[in-house]
Parts: sequence; C-alpha cells; structure tokens
Amino acid sequence: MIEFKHVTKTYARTHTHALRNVDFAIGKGEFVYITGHSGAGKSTLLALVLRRTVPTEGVVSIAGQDLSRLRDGQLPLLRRRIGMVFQDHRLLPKLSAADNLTFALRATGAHGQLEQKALNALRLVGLAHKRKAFPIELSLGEQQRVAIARALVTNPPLLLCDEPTGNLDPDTSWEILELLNDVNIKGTTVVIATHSRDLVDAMKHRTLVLRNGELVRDDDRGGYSL
Amino acid sequence: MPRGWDALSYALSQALRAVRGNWIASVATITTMTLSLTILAGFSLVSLNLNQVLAALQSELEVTAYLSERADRSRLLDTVRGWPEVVRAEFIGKDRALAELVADLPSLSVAAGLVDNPLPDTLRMRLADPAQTSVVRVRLEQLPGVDGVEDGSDAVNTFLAVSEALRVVGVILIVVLLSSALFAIVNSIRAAITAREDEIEVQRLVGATRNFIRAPFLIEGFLLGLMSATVTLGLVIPGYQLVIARLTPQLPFVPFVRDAALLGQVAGLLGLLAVLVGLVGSAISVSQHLRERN
Ligand SMILES: Nc1ncnc2c1ncn2[C@@H]1O[C@H](COP(=O)(O)OP(=O)(O)OP(=O)(O)O)[C@@H](O)[C@H]1O
Ligand SMILES: [Mg+2]
Repeated sequence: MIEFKHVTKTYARTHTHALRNVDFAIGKGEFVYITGHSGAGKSTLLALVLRRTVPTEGVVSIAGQDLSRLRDGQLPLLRRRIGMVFQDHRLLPKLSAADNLTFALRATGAHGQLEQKALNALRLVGLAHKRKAFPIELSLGEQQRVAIARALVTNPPLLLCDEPTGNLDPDTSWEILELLNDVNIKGTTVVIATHSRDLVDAMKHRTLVLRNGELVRDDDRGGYSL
Repeated sequence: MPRGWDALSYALSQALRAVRGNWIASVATITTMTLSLTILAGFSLVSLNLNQVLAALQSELEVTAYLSERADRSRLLDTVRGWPEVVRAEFIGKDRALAELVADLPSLSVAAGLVDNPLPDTLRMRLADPAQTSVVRVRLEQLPGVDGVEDGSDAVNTFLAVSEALRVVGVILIVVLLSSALFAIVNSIRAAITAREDEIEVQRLVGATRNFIRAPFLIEGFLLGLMSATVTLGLVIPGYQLVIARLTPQLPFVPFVRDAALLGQVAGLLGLLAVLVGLVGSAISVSQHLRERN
C-alpha cells in the first residue's frame, strides 16, 4: 500500500536531512509503528505519505502511484483515502465536535446524512455524548479522540496518526491504542508515529525505527529499542 | 437535491457567514465600491446627456451660402437641391434676412432704417447627416456666385472638443475608480482568507478540491459586488430623477435623457460592472493567497 524507495528528504532552508535513503513497504491492513527520537523524521515521513511535501530523492508511492507525479487535481483524491491525526490535532476551535466532523466530511465532497455519519464516528471513539462540546470544553484525551473520529469519519483505507497519545496518561493512551487496533481489525491500514516507549511495548506490532533520518530497524514483532 | 446544488448552497452559506461575521469590513468595502460606482454612474449620465445635446445640436445644423449680387439664384437652388446630402434648401433674400435679424435683435431696427441693407442673399440648407458638412461646404465654395459658406460647425466643433476631453477624463476616472473598487474587494477577500486560514488548511489536508476551497471566497466577492450595485442604484436612480426635475425648469432647451430603456441599460451595465469587479477582485485575491503550499 505504502512504498518508500531510497527516499531522502532534505529541508534546503535549514540544511536538515530529515530522512536519508529510507526504504520500506507497508502492506494493506498492516498496523505499523514509526518510532525514533524527537527530530528523527517521523512527522516528515507522514508528511511525505500525505504529500504535504515531496522527497528530495527517491520515490514515495501509494497503491503503486508515484506521489511526485501526482497532478494537482489528483491530490484531493489521494488525501480522501487517508485519515490523518495530527500531532497538534488541529480541531477547529469555533466548531463543536460534531461540526468539526461534518466540516471535514463536506470538504471531502461527502453528501447526505452528514450529521448521522459524524455521530457514528463519535460513537466509535465513545464521545457521542460530547458531540455539542467545543474543543476547549474537552479534555486533551477527548480532543485526541475527536481528532481520530474526524480522521475516520470518511472511512479511509489508510489511517496515519502522529503522536496520537502525546500528553496522555497511560490508561487513556491504552484506550486510544485499543481503539486504533479495533479500526485496524476492521481492515484499515494504521500507521502510528510515536516516541512513546510504553505505547509500542503495550501492544506489539511491526515497528520501524528511525535515527537521525535513517531507518535503522524494521522489526516484525516490534518492541521499543533505539 | 442534486450534489452540485448541495455544494453550491454550502459555499453560499459559508460566504454569507463570512460577510455577516466580518460585517464592519464588509460595510467598508461596500461603501468604497458604492462611492466609486456612484461617481462612475454620475459621470456616465452627464456624458449621456451631453451626447444627446450634441446630437440635437447637430441635427439642427444648417449650412448657409452667401451669394454675390450677380448670382443665378434659381440655378443655384436647383443645383443644391439635386445633391443627395441636402434634405432641404431655401433661398432667403437679403430683405428677409434683415427682417429676421431685426426680429431677433430689435435694437437694430433703428440702424436698419439708416443704412443700406448690408446683408447678402443666402441659400440655407439642411443636411441629412451633419458629418457631410465639410464635403458640402467644399462643393458649395466652388459654385459660381457663392461668395462664402458658413456651416455653424464651429459650435459643434467646440462641443466635440468638450466631449472628447470628457471622454479622456472618463477613461482616467474609470481606471482610477474601478481600481479602487477592485482593491477594496481584493483586500476584503484577503482578510477573509486570512481569517479562515486554519479551516482552509484542514480542508486541504482532508482532500478538498481547489474549487471547493475557492468557491466561498468567489461568492463572497460576487455578493459584495451585488450589494454595492444595489446600494449604488438605490442612490443614483432617485438622485438622477431629482436632478433632472430640478434642472428642467432652468434649462428648458436641454433635452435631458429620460428614455427608460436607455437608462435601464446604463443601470444594468453598472450592476454588471460591480458584480464583475467583485468576481475579478476575489479571483485575484484567491489566486494570490490560496496557492497550494503542500
Ligand atoms: N518544514 C520544515 N522545514 C525545515 N526543517 C524541518 C521542517 N520540518 C521538520 N524539519 C526538520 O526535520 C527534522 C525531522 O523533523 P520531524 O518533524 O520529522 O521529526 P519527528 O521525528 O516528527 O520529531 P518529534 O518527535 O519531535 O515530532 C528535524 O530536525 C526538524 O527540525
Ligand atoms: Mg513529529
């Protein structure tokens, strides 16, 4: 599903080699952790998948499609197949939880029964009762779950999560991890970038380890070690 | 409901929300645009009336040939009547010319009795098209027995010069006023884009198309143009009626434009212009500030 071939990403302005010659493939239905120290290149890797940026060298492809060659008109179609949970969750503060979801649904061109779809997604993360709450009225963990619901509301085949349990206590982290695992069991490919050792150790899955932009380990039955 | 309609009504509701939500900026933009459009409308109406006066003046234009003592009046009259440009020609003897002059200027009546009639015999002609005046004049001057020709074109030429000058001023005005209206829209939409940057970013990341993101801003520009046009016409139409009602008693000889169809066209054009400025302004803003940054 996702394929990186000798991918190097250099940020010219800051002369940062965020990724160096990274090579891997993730199949349909997999659950994969991307781990590494802060600054190792995890967010950059996800940005390449979402095509918020293109590699300096090498090829990133999804479903066989080279993302560097994607025409502008095709970019929205790519992104509609990807649910993304951001490190800073990016909920819109002026919209309620449910409205944040319908807002995203509308933007993807969805039509009909949007409120129902939003409610279903909120139910999935256990927050149906908070549908009218604004982000500021939610705890961090709840905000994170709304962000996950927003990523899932369009039923994407691929879910990317950047630090989905950042700042959360272990119990809440575990709940979120179980939630993501359920999503994965239902067929969605899940990729989680995290530097949380506890998370990776709590539920064993394939783990890619980045160190200073290099892929130093690709371990089928994971566990955290740098 | 069809999908396209759904998306459009969503974009419309977003645009309306933006106009209302930032109503102070909206009012400022509409004010600026209304000001520009009102001046433009006033100017168009003045030009329109001036043209009408000019047309009236030209249609009343006569060519007068002064004849020498020995001229063969009836042959000359037959000659000019044979010309296709000439609609009407009439001979006016010097006695009648003097009588007309005295009738126009009664103070001359005493002098007229004291001296010999100094006026020549004349031929007066009305032309089908005032533009042919100079052609006819040249031909007249070559006829035997014609001492001189007067065609009243001096007045027309002065008028033409004025209206030409007005046209130049008009073009400059249009450019200046439309640019100011355009900048008002561009600025307003840029502010709207900036205010919604977070939303736009989320829309992009979840896969909104370029048109989906742009539509509300284009509609907002369109709405601002439409509202400015409405306010402008609401001011200009009664204003114009008031002005000609006031001026008609004082300038009874001026044929003010009252043709509803013509005035309707001017109003329609103005409205179209306002909407176009709104659309173009927002399109400029959108292409400047909504570039895909990836
Ligand atoms: N837009 C950018 N422009 C320039 N440099 C960048 C940019 N984004 C990231 N970097 C640099 O690239 C390197 C990798 O950053 P990245 O955000 O991918 O790390 P990360 O593994 O996600 O870290 P963290 O765990 O702190 O989120 C860092 O050195 C960072 O400074
Ligand atoms: Mg990161």
